[in-house]
Amino acid sequence: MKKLKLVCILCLTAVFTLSSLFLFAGGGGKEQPAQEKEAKPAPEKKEQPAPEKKDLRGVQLHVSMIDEEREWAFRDLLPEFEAKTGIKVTIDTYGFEDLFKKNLTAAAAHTGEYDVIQMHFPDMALFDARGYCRDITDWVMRDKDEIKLDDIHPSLQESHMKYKGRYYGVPTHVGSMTFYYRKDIFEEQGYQVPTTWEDVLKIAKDVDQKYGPDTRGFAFMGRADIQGAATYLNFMGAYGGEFYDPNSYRPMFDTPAALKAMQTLNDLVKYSVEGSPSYGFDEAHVAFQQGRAAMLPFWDSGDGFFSDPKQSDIIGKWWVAPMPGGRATNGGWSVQISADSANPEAAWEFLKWIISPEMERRLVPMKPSCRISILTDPEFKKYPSYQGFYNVLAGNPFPFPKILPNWQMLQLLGQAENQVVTGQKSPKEALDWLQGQYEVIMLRYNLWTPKK
Amino acid sequence: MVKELQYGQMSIFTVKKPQLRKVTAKVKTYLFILPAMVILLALIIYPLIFSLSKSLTDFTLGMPGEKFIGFQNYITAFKDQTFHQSLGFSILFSVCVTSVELLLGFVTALLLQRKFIGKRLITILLILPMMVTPVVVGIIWLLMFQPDFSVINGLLSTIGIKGPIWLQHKWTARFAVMVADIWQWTPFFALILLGGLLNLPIEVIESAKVDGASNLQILRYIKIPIMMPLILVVILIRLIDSFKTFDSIFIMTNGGPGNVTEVLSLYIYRSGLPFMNVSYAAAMSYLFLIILIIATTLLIRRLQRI
Repeated sequence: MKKLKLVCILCLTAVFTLSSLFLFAGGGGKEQPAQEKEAKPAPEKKEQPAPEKKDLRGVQLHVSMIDEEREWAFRDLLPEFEAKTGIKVTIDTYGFEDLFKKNLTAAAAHTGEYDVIQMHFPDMALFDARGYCRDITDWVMRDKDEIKLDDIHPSLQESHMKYKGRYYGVPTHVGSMTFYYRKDIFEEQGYQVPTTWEDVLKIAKDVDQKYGPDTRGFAFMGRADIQGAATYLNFMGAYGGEFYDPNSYRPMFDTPAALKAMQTLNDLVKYSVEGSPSYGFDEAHVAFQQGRAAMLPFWDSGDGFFSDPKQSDIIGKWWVAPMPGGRATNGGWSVQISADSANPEAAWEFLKWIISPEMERRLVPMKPSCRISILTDPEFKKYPSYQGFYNVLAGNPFPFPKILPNWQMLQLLGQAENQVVTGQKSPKEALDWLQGQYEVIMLRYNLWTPKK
Repeated sequence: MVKELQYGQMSIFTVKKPQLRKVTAKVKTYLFILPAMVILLALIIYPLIFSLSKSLTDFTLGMPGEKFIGFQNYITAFKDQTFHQSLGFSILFSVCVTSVELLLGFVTALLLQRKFIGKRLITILLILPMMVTPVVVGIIWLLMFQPDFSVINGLLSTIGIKGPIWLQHKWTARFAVMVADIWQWTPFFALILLGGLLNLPIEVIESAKVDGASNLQILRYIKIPIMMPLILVVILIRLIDSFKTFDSIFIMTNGGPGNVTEVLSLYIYRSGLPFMNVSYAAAMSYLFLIILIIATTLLIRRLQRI
């Protein structure tokens, strides 16, 4: 018996030691060099002379990208790029969160694992501020005719290419949220296209009574993540809300606009497809394409899903409208060259290739283009999200906050939104909690100091 | 002279040589364990000290520099409602899944102790869930509880029950993540306890039977007491392991709805990497470790008293 106890205790000690390893395995990290704080003037960048073009044949590039169809298309077309330039490229694709982690750990530890990285554009406030990516202003200026810089929408140049006035990346996989609705139901019932969220509420209630439970009035992405946050921002923008005061950086989730937005979203839950509060990207578009909802605020990639005869039950029955209230959440990706890349010239060739006018034209209708000539081309009028996106850019888009803790803020917003739509907290309680969280974050990142 | 000298030398050697040998042997011993010690120091001790030092600073990824702030991160954790909530759910999760797994595992072990057709096949099938990685377990059960085409709800509807949207409500979501863990780890209890049952002293059980003890009495007064050290060890291993559960919950609910299924390990991870608050995550890791040490020590003491 004593021996058995001894063996047991030894086993436990071994298990316990191993379990403690789990906790601290990720504890180590490279010491961060001192940098300018966010919201303060950008550090002066050293002018990087634009090098002469050189023979890049045989160079190998590693690229990290988001795991979606536009990026798969780049991978499929790589043999053409290799034949043209002699540069061999490997594209690794990851999910949203994994891509961020992969890029951040590689950049922070200066592994040089990737020559080119794709980032959600608000993360430029992290990667570019920290010097993790290369300032490409000189190359952009040198090759502006070749890349037809003027054709890239100025709004996208500001949001997806520049950080504090300098060029760091190129926009690809851009887009905004748009308002999808069932054209057939609207025509049948004589509904006007809604211009406010109150209109949406009225129509949703009516549809619910007339077509429910098979077709509900509304569907939305309510999951406690960035999609829940993106959905709520459409409402917040409509009521004149802002993430934070642009001058003082004071969070603005304790305002009547934020509260009204959350209340309206919550009011829509009872007319929504039942699972909406836990829907992410996939579930939401599937619900709409199966004809289970009459209205859906969704990313403009919905065009592809709803037009696909293999998966859509609503072909010819849907259309898009400007987001009720006039402001739509704006997202998208920026592709940049890692500061640790040993082959930045080859990486720049790759960047030019993925945003070339020819490539943008070939990839229609995967996602809206960054190019004005394509967004406004009459040939592409059959893709409603193209004109829709152009209107968003020309109007008043609601971009994700381009500040260092943007990831944390969006996650917390998604959590607060989800707590409301799943009935765990009232809109007021959730927003009070969120405001408190944001104030701590803004303080921690030296973005805002409360007045004494 | 020479002999004497030789004798003298011999006499010196007979006294000194074993001491020198001892010293050399000791040095050799240390030399042999030195590589292991260096690896141990580099892989365990250094990260421990490094993360402890970070937990006493305001180090944040993406922010310049860092400064010493003492125990501020620990104080913040004690005041942090999300920390309390995730700790509470971690304890609830560990206790619930371990209890159910023990119960189901013991029943399964008792069944497997008997002889029946297909026993070997069932034993092999039982091992399968343990061989699946937690991420895959998460995906499997996410599909089982998916809002629109939930397999569970499909089965319930065949008997006329309309199932809930499992991952959308507080207690159904908590139940769902526990079910996934129970499915994966009940076989672990079953196999270990089966090993214990098969090694019980047959004479004691036989004599109890001769004395007229029922099967239930034999189980309660003979089998369970003899197996108690083994049961406690399995409970302890699973308690520690389930307290660290991360992957399946991350996949199934990502801590939602809201944050009601957010376990402490998920909250620590989220604070550390996506939220870049590394020092706070390190402080919470240490609190996590202290909680584990207390729980383990209590159970080990109980084990020593048997």
